Amino acid sequence: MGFLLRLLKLNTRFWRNVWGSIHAPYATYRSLVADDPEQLLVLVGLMAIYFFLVSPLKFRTFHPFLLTINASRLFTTALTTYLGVCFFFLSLGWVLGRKANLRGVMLAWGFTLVPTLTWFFTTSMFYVVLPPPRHETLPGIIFSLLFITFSISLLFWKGLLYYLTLRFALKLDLWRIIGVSIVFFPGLFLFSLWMYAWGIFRVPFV
Amino acid sequence: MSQRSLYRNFVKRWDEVTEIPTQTVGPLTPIYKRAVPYFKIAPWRILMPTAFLLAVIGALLLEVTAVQVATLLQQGF
Repeated sequence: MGFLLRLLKLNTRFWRNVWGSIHAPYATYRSLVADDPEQLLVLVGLMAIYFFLVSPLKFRTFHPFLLTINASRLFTTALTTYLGVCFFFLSLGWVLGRKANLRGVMLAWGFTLVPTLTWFFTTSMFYVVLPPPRHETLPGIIFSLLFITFSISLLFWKGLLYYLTLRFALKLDLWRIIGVSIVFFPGLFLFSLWMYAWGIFRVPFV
Repeated sequence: MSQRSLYRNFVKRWDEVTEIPTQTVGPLTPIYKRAVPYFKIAPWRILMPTAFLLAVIGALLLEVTAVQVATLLQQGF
């Protein structure tokens, strides 16, 4: 019973922070970096559920062994990427002489995966409900514009949370954030190309 | 609230605020300070219309159509 209560509290805290990151991201991130890191388990759970649900769709098979292998591969890659980025930011923070701690970076960067997961989940859902290709008809154009708007909005949200991660977890000012971004984005681009070449992710789950 | 807890809360808030360096952008700092409040509370009010505008402008200006981009994006997961 105690375990269930703890799980419920973590869940509530997690979703409250997700809502905060939408409605008041600045204030939410300010307190998030000192919050309970266990709520990231909710995020990890959601990622695991997503990758296991999307595997039949992505790999066009219901073979249990293949599904397990592929879903595990996607999940492990996403988790490794997340940890890699956290340690990368932490290292850059130390190089720049900032007192960053792993908990703050993991929490802040973890919540930037919420827009990523939202986009992936929604895109997968639309792949089933309205499979591509889209056509040059009025409904097709309207849906395309709305879908692109949705994707760009989530990208902006992700960008905002990325900025707040560097601001509150690493305690950087704008010029250092720009400096870190100059190092981070080319590396991210190369990593994305590598993921695409290996057939793991077309759009990087980062 | 007792004076002791009020003082403790004050010190905690003071540390929170002073720990983060002040943001300056040289001569653009006044513009930055006026723009930032729109991103602090409900930034979706600015971001979503901007995203829609970008989508429409992109559809009008670029050679690829919105339909082609959406088809590509839908396979991106």
